[in-house]
Amino acid sequence: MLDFSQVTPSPSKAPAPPGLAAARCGHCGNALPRDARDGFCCAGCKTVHDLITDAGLQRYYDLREAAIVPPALLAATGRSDRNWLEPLRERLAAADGSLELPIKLQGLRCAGCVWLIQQLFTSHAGALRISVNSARGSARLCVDRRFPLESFVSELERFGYMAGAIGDSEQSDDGLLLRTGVCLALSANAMMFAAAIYLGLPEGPLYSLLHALNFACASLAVLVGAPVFTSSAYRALQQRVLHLDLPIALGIALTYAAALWSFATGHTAAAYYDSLATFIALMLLGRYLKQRIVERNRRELLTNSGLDGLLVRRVHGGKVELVAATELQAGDALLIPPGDLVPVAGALQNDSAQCSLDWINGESEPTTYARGSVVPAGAFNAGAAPLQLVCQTAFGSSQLVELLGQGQLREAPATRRTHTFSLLYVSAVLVAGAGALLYWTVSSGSLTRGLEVATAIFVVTCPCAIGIAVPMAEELVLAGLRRAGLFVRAPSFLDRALAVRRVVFDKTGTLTTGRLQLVDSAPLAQLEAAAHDVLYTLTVASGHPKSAAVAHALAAFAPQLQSGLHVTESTGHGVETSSGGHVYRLGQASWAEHGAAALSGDDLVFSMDGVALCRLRTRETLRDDARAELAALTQDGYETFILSGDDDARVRALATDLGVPAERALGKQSPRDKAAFIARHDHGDMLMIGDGVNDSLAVAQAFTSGTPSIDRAVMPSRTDFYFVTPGLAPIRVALRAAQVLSTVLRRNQIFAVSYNVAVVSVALLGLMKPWLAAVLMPLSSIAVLASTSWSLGSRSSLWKS
Amino acid sequence: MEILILTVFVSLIVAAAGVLFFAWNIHHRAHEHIEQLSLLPLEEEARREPRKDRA
Repeated sequence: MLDFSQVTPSPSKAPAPPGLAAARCGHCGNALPRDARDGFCCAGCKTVHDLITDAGLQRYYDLREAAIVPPALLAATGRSDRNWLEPLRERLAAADGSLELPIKLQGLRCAGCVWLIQQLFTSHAGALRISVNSARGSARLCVDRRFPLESFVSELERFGYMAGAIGDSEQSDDGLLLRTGVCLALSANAMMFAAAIYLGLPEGPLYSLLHALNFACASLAVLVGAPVFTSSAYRALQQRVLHLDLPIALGIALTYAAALWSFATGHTAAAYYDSLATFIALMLLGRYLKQRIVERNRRELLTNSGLDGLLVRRVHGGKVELVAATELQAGDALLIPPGDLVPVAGALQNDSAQCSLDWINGESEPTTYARGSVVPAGAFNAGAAPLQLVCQTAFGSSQLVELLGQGQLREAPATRRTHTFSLLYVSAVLVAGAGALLYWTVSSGSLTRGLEVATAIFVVTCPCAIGIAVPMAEELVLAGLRRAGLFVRAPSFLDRALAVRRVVFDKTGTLTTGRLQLVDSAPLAQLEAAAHDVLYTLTVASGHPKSAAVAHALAAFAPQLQSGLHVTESTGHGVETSSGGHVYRLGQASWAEHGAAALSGDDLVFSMDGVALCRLRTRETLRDDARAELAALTQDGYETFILSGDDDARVRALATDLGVPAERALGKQSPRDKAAFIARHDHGDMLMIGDGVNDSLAVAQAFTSGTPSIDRAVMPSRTDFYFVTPGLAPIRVALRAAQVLSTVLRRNQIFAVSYNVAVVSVALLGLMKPWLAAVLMPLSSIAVLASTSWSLGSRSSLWKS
Repeated sequence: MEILILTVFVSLIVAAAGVLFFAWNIHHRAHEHIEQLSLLPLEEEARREPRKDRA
């Protein structure tokens, strides 16, 4: 008997939640596809919406501020890996009193998500306290031994959140944030004290106090903030690199030396205390911005613990034990629960089994295996019963070792576009400072005067266009892409996107949704209401993609789930039930219909007592905007390609449909074939988009890459970005945003050069004063930041087109 | 003039307290779960609602 508590509830009556435009999905907020029904983009979102409303948790939609959340993954209910729960379950069973359990959560977006998770948590016995950390994508559950951990995780998954183990590298250094905050406070105080002096406070006890406090603020700012730049500049020098941190560190050192001398001697010409504190605070703020958003994008997903984190159930001495996949040897007996990954090719011990190979070859339909046949590594158990396998090889020889290896992020030590400018800037400032020191020392005959002018140059040459404006511009672009549903993980992606001229797509799961749909749902309209109910009950009890397609089409007829029916699944054939003395079958024609020949693999028959009631045909569902997006990419000058492990004819047919030339569409491509194609054709201008582990070699080979697959951590950990929308639009948005970002940064550089030439000229003439520096430097920073914000902020035209 | 010096002293104490509170927040990672903190008023509301019902 199948468990109906885990399946899709009956189609509901729930209205679209308030606050969302009609053209948006009622749950996730994504644009609705053409075939959407009831205001939801997919069956997953509708299911989660029904769950939320049925549980009386509609307030989630009022609290939610994120425009787009990932569509709910129905797959998560059947394919999630639970092995990571074993150690936590053991700790819970042995707990005496309360216990804190940390878990990683994927899918947290906003206060609405936090509230929903709190409500789900507190509804369980043994739930004491929960702390949800949305910045890190994790939660700490304070529970006692009564807490049903596995049920809670299942519930989270049904509501669209994925849970996993906390990785070892979850702790990060918050020192930079603390330094930035402290230096901003010091800078504000220094400016306040300096303002009184600049506005003409007469000398006296208060003047001396404010002067001393101003110096103290600058000294503390140097103590707290300068190590960030001096250590970085020192490391860069050790590697013989002229980094932007060098003039920053040099400017801080020289200005502070002058400030010390000024304070000790009472000579106020070089007393740039407030400018120094402000300069350090702004530079730290820029550094913090640079780190923040990319880290956040990375933390959103479950940790990819690579091969070490892959746990499997091994049968040993009549007992089932959970072991690391790396320990597996040839001859080991394995038990693979429904939805789990097959880690090593193994001989099947069950009579028959269905496995999904979409991860390794892009085939969207499950494959049926008979007893004794070898199930390949990388397959998923797509049936309802556990698989029993005997390993053919040790894990070291499994193809997963190559495909599942830990991904490496492509980090650029300094982004290309700013590196050259930084180099020129550093050289120009050093030459101007040294020249001023030499000229004024010789011409005035005073080293003090020479140092004053050189210090003024180091103070007023503001690298804001690089130090703050660049990180701010990148943050604005990354935030805009987040709103569009695309999350950048590699800081160098926006640089790489500038060079992209060719875009290569995988087929299944990338250009298509990975789901099937009915070619024509008219045959369903011929059925009576009672037959709709039976057919619906059959479809929701099966995890097969064809059943899901029928269930989706049936939603238009408002069928009722017949929970009293006993549904059985015949592996590789279909599902069957008895009702009112009749036997109903949904499956292959040769099995469901008496005397029918085996028709093409795409045909489904719903029969009663061997007589066909209706015949149905399914096809892959293309992403709704795939045609429009590929056409738009071509119009923008990009060459598009399709690489797929699927049948060659199907790939070419799809290419024709999408307007991709046949010679640029290749089928029957193994993971190595795809990687070889990329290696041959990528001249530092190729973007690869893939979703399965069969694309993992290709995405690692490509100049830059992205994935729409976030249900497992393997692909996102190897790509430069991931996107969570039902459509492909974010890819084009990202490529365009990179171009606009480049234009804005170039404009900032022109501004920076103009400003610096002007203020250095004033300083070289010996006319710069501390009060003038205190006004000019923040003004230039505000100007460049305002211009950047205007061009790239959420209201800019970039995000409206 | 003495009152100005006293004012400066008090403002410095306030600024130092602000910095200490900021450091305390970072130490307790409050900045990472602001969404949860923003829901605290709702917990108050939820606690009050049953009392209203009884009344």
